[in-house]
Amino acid sequence: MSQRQVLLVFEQYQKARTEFVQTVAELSTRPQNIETLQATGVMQLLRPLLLDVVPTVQQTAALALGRLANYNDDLAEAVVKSDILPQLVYSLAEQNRFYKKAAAFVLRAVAKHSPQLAQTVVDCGALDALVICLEEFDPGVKEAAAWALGYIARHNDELAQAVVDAGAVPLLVLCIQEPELSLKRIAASALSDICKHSPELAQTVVDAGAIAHLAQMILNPDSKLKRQVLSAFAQISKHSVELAELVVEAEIFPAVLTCLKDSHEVVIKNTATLIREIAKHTPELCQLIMNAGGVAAVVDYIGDTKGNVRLPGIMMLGYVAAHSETLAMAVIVSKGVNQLAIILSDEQEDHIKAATVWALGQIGRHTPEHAKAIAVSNVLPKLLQSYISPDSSEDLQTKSKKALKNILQKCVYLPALEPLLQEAPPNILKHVVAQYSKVLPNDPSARRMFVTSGGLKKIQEIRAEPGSALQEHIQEINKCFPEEIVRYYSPGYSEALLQRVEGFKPSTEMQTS
Amino acid sequence: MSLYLSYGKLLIDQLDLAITQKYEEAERFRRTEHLAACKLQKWWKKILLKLKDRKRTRASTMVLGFMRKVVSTKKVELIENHKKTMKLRKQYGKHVTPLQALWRGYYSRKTIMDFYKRKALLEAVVKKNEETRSHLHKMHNLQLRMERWRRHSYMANARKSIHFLISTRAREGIPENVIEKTAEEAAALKRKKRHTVEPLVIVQPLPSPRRYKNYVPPDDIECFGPFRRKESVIEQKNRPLEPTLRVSTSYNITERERKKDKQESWIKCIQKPMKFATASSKCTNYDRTLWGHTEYNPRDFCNKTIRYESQCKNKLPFISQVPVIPLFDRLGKSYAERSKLIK
Repeated sequence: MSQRQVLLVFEQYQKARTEFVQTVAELSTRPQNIETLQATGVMQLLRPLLLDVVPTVQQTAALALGRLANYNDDLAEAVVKSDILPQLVYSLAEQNRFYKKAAAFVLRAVAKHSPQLAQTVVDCGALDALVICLEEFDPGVKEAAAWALGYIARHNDELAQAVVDAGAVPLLVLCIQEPELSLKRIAASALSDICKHSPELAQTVVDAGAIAHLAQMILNPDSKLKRQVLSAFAQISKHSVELAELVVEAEIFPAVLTCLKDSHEVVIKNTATLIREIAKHTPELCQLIMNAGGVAAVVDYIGDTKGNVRLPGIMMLGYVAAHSETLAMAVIVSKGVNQLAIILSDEQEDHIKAATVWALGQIGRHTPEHAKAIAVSNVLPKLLQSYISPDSSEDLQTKSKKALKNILQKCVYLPALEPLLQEAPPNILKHVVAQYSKVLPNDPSARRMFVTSGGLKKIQEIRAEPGSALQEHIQEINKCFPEEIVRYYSPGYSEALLQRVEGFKPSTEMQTS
Repeated sequence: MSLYLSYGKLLIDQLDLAITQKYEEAERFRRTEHLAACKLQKWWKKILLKLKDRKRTRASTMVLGFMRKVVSTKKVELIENHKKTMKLRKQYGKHVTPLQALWRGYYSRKTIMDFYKRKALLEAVVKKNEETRSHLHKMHNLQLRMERWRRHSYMANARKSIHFLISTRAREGIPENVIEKTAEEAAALKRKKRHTVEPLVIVQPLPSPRRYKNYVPPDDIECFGPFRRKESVIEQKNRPLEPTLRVSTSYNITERERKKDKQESWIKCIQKPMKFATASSKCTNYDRTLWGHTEYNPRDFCNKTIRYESQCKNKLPFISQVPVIPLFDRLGKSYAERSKLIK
């Protein structure tokens, strides 16, 4: 056999291997083929191809493995059980950039499913290799490595701490400064996943100088980048006052408010989440947001959006109002109460209604002026309805009851209390009656109104236990009116009168005359 | 004898008895006296005590009376002062109370809760909210316009780039294609153009690409920069268009190129660094051989003239790149000397 014929055989074999691995990689992009591939034992066939002489075959085999592992956790476990990970980790240090990208993709695909699989990836020593990849020249390799690190850190604080201990944070901060947009996105996402677990991890990211670089990207036109940056900021500021102040010192306000008008819902939601996490800490931070016009921007945003997207905005208004009466008045003046009332009537989801009800309670609990602003918007009957309705969840009922109680204890606007007198259950009624007992002794026109509107009649119909607080309040109200009127409106008075008429005997003198 | 003894004993016993009786009597008497004396003493002490008490009581009564007098006068004074004060207060109250109310209101507004400041703050908040809303509205409109412009430019570029694949006709706004029109098409275009309204401002029309078919730049124009030859320019202009979707490079191009590179590297590489068993295969530090003066050292970073000059100036004797051999050092020999000897 000539040399040429011998070489031909090897060429054919190489061609067959290449074709096989490329076809498998192509087939694994479609979900319907995955089970068939798994049944045919594709893992065992692909494993030796990772050590193939031809670099293309190695890279394509790694790519195919990554696509298979990405599909579900069973396949990812199969990858782990086949002892493929150590080979991949070793190759990360030795091979070219194409192979590194594919290997990092496989590690990411395995780590994303569960903390146990991510721990297996860490135990194989992948972290050091991935961190070295972050120093590579090729942005694609850096992106793949950052993505894998982010997916590992996402699960719990121990894994995130392991990523930090491997020295990934300063390199991720450097990746953010790179010109490639996709790399910036992935690096910001990885930092966000690290920060979210604990204040110490967030502090580590802050100490690496991430805030200044992230702040520059808030006004980037790319929506995907913005959403990751805003998410990172929210995860940093949620832990403590100091971290929130550091974020605010990066002068993100008022620039971040423009993100509330973005066309992508996730960007808007993340912006609102960031503002909420800053506002919940101290009144000074709320004041800062208010001075930047943040309250009005949030009120507009909750009016323009629907569903879960508006939830962080509703909570933000509640947090702002909870701190002090001035801030609550600022929310009222920014037309927040009207918007919240609309949401309460339009929304179907119970958890959003519960948040709205809670926010209204925080606004109205401070002074009679605040309670009046809530009452004037005709919110009290809706709150009562949320409390009474059997379709409402337990959380919604609890929050509605608390909010009603807080508002009613300050409300002296009697026209808003009348509807509640008719429908409220006893535990709410006692607060309504208590307010009437405070106002009626000092206001004659209110007393007249109370009689003409049927309130006095309703009060007499209430059956209160003797000695209870409700009974005392009813008695105090009755003292404000003449006895005849009280008796006139008491139940069964007409019957008693008629009985008296029946029992009446005219006198004899009148008969004789 | 025994009788006397017994009698003596009897007498003694009787004596003893009498003595004992006397002692008991005396004891009784003593006791009675003692008790009487005690009684008398008690009675006397009582009297004495009463006398003392009387004195003390009188003294204390006097003192107490004095103190009570003092206290009651003080009390009376206080009550009278209080009455006077209340009288004065009642008298002046209607004038002083408004002043106090004024001061207390001012003080509480200044320190506890400044309602005017709060009012001003809320007005400023309302104003700021309006500004923020209008600014955000403008930004939103700007973003929408930018989105629309980006989309429009993307579509226009896409249209331009796929124009030659999907159509052989000229479209408005897209440059005229280089495919030659038939005479009939050209006449039809002319007839179409005749019916169009001519613009008021007469702009000199651009020459059609066909006029540049045989265009040759004149010789007298000097072209500065990296321009190609004129003939190759003309050749490219006149080349017929062959649009195709087939990719010109093959699937295995990267492998082939790598193989080729590898083969050529063996050819191009004149000298490989010599490896010895003692040297480690990995991570050898690159030692620059700039100052190694042999014919085989690569000189990537200086040009020929400098190399030649430096060779002439600094012609040092042969310096081996091989690690030092201790035997040679001991004998004081070197390769240069050896080569001289051989010659």
